[in-house]
Amino acid sequence: MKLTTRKFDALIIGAGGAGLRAALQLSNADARVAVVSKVFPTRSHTVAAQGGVNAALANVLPDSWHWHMFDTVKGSDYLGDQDAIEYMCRAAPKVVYELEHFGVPFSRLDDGGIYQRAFGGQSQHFGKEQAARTCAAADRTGHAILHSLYQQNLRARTHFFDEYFAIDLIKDDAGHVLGVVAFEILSGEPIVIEAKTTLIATGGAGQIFRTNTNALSNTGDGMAMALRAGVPLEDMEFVQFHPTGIAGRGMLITEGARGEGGFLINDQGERFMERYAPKVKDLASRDVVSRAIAIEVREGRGCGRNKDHALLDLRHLGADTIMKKLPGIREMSLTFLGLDPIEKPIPVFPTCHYSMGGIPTNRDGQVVVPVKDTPEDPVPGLYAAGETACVSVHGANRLGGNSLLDILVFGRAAANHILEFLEENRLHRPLHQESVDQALARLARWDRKGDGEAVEPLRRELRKVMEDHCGVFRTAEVMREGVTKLRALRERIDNAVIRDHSRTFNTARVEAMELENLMDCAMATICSALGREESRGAHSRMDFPDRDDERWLKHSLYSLQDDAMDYKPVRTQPVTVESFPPKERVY
Amino acid sequence: MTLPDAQTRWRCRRGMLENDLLLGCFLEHGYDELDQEGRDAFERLLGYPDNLLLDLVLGRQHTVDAGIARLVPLIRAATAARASD
Repeated sequence: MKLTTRKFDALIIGAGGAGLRAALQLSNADARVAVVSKVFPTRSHTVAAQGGVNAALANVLPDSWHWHMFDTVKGSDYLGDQDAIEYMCRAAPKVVYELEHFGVPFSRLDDGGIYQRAFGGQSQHFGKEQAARTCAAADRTGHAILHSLYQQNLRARTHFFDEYFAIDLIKDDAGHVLGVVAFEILSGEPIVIEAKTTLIATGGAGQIFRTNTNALSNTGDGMAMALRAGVPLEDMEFVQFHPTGIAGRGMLITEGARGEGGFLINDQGERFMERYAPKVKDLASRDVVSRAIAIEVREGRGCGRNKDHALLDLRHLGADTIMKKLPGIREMSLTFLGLDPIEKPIPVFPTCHYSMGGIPTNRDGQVVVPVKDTPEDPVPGLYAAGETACVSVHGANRLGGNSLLDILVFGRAAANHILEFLEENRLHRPLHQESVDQALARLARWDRKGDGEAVEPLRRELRKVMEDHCGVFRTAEVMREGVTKLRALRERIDNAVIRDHSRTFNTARVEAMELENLMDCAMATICSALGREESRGAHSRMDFPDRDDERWLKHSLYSLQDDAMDYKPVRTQPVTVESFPPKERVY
Repeated sequence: MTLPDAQTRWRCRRGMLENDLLLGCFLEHGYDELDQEGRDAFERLLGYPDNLLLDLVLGRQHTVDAGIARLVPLIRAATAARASD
């Protein structure tokens, strides 16, 4: 059978904000660009980002990129790379004005300037007064950005492969990445897309946890592809959790519910936060509340048939307060749980929201790997941007408003570097057939018939193992048990089968390949978390409760081969300004 | 599974978890009972941007498309049915 082959200057895998921003930059510079997306581009998860984009425009309060940089370094618990953070904060105003010109309808001030709202973690004068730095298009900034970028790409004639699933990168013996092998979901037919440069922009991997806020499509496909191509993943232990997701569903119940006086109870009806934080109780910081819920469940005081969640009780607030002040929460609860919080408490559990870790890149978006004594050697032809990448601007914890900024700044930066690369590399390198055959074998593996476990139960089990063993309650013992369970699951996945072997629109095959990707990302997360014997930012170890800069001010690198861990230094030197040395974080 | 069903199922993969759950529940409880007119309306609904789709299903916005308007309570009922499982 002859394979369909297409050739482009640049290939973008993923059509969220990072991918589309990069594609636009490239198409506008007359490069031949292809975007591969497993869902229609405007159904990418960027659409769910509500908050906004941080940029020191100083439209509402005095501000400077340097203060923004300080806040981001501090928020990262000093694990962020300060050169990349400086670059991002300096570039922020420019990318926001570009978006304005692309048609994003930002909320406005009376004088016509872009309105900016105050978010947690933002300060003036390096940690002093509150700043107002977040530019938003009402409460649907991600939606506005994604749709504007998509329209601009259509205008710029970017080529879209909609509903194509990328299987694996093509890489030659010299280590150059040459494109991807994908298949069209509609026909089931594989396709080789050769490209002089390939950018991975496939978003996060929140679906590795049972309770998460992510769209079902966030299965870490790009991260897993990178792993299989021999690229380690960086800082995967850093996963942002929100304490009160709707149990078993994942959607957020905002802090506002507890701010209005709602409180958490266990199966005894006890207000357990009184034991964990006697003063502030239910208004303790996110990590404290998250861990308290996890401990109650672990110690057998969880609620419900499976005793696997806590309850958020709003009943004492009364119908009037709930309907006037918390209508959105009531609506979510009625819709997704069929219960009215006026009458019954809401089941909640910590929900995974964002992956700080990912494919290691430099600030030009080039994927970098350790080679001999060099910790960051670029992989020729390979780039990554957005949540799938770890540049690393978020370090151990991400500030609100910095994720949309990350995708825009580094999507654009990667595209600029790709254009330079294309100037110097005008010809396609010869296709590496062995690498293509390996990818096709991965696809063909799911044609296997006979006995074997089904995909969906394995996926459920994987997500539960991660929730129980690598969620917000982390100790060496708990995680070691989790690694053992995941390794057993990995073998079972190797022997799993699907019943539907049709070619056309066989979504069972897509979901099976997503499961393999989830498996690799889950293993990267738990091995990295087990390796890091300290608590920093979003990574909190019960057995190592303190930050340990002497031993652990370094990035983790997980490799698929032997589940090996390696480490590399943090880039503490910014581009033009003085470094912010690590300090205790106090807000 | 026939072609339209598989294709429709994949197009229920959305950018927001809320929509994934709402549409996923409806595929399990309700979609099979739709007549052709209802299925056509569902296809039109899938063409909506995610935020608008969510607003419609949650009743925050209304549509003049009578076919889609008829679907909204069915989608909500399907989600509620799963909630009580």
